[in-house]
Amino acid sequence: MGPIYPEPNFNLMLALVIGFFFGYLLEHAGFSTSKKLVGVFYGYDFTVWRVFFTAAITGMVGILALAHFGLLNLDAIYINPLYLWSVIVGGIIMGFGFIIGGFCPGTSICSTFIGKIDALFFVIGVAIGIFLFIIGYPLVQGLHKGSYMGTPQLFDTLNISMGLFTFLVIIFAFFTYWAVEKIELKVNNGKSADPTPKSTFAKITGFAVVVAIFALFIPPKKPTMLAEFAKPDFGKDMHINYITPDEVAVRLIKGDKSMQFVDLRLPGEFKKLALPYAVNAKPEQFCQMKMKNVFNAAGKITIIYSNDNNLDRRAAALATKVGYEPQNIWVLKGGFPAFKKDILDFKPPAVMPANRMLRTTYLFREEFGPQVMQILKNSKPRKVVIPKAKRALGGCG
Amino acid sequence: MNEETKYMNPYLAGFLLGLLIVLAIYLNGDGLGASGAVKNTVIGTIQAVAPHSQIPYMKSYNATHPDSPWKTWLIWEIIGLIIGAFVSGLIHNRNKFVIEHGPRISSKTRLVAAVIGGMLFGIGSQFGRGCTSGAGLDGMAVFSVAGFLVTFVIFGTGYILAPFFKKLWL
Repeated sequence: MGPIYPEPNFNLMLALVIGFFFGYLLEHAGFSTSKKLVGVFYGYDFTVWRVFFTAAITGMVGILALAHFGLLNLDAIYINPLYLWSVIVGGIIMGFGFIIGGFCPGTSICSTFIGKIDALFFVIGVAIGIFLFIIGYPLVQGLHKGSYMGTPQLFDTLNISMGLFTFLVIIFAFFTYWAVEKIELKVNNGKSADPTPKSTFAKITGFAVVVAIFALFIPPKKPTMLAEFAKPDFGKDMHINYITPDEVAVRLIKGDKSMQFVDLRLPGEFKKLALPYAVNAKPEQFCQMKMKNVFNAAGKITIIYSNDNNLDRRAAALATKVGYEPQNIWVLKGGFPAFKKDILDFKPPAVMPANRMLRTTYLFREEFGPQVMQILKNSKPRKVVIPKAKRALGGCG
Repeated sequence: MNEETKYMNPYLAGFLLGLLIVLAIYLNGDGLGASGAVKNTVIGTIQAVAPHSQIPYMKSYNATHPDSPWKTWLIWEIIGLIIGAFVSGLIHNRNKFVIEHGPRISSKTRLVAAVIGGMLFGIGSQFGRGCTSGAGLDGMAVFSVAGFLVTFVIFGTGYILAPFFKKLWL
């Protein structure tokens, strides 16, 4: 089941090939001239509209069909997150950029390499713009990271099926193709920018209607990740980062602020004693806003623990699968029981071992165990994330 | 231009472009992109010039992205895109140096407008978390509200502004 995630180096070759066709298509569709691109705004050439919308509906049908035949796991694909105001402001700024500059980033790169000097200046502008954003990020961080609304999909928002939504969008698209043709004829005094012969367009429309009706009857197979997560061997082949109780203890004593903890135990146990400022949560809640803030906290690693090693491992795998940075997700080796036994309640053996390493470790634990305990007691655990899981976890959405 | 070079049928181009997006998603779970590659280039350049940059954004980026921004899917995709565009231009006899501008403005005005437009698009793409490709097109293909919304806002803004910037184009 896709995505298949090709082997990294091979993947870069595929990127090159896919990019080649991307560039070829953009250029040969006529996107390598700003005159054709801005035509969409002045009504003399709607090529951009036709290409863009056709690509979008083809994409939708393709995704739906792959999901229906069990070839693509919809939980694993990237759904653009919705930061409401950031998207709106970004869209408006891009709208200004489009009408003033006459390109968008992809088309400007294409145009540059067929010799359009104006496109080259646009590309330079894009780089400057991104640089300015990076420099000025603290000023706009609030807007950029604010009003987060998850990764909603429009058919869910409208509360209709994926198939019905696809059907409606296809019908709408072809209605607009008909309408923009009328506009072109008016603006260009009876000349359309669309070279498609009427009979061919009728065939394309007929085909699209058939596809649209077909889309109504192919519901996507949506394996919910939670069902997978419940299996004991979930994520068995995934790499998991482990951190030992000793390292955690050392870092706590050093006042290391880069660790944060997610405690998967029952709220009762959690309230009694937990690692500093831990968040009590269930894996089912990993997609909720509060947990997103935890996992996505900049410059911090998140250490997961409970009383059940397998649960911890699966939870880390789940966090990775729903899209958090794998290198920031860690599992406390041995879970809370090990931390308690090895650090908090550590009792050195009657006879110290001969191994120097081990002896140093024991001495460390004996000396600093009580201090760590004090750190735990002094730090109020953050809060219990109230269970609110309504819909089955399927990616973070 | 002595002869009007013909472009591909828009519906066919759109259909093939859509298939390409599906293929990209099938391979990696993510679609095509353009502004992301420019961003990687900018970040890679900053890293090369100032490896220990104190810019807050860079500090956070460096902490969360241990891998090089160069050896990434997007960068290779854009290298492919460049070759693809060039080859298409070559085959269809469209490769030539030119500054395209509206009849009522000079080349210089066009270039200034292009830089300004590019800057705005660059900034906007960061707020939009992608440009017309990565946020708009891919976003719509995966049914995301963000994708539909950003496409609607980009084009809507363009339409509202079009009368005021007529001089640049017509």
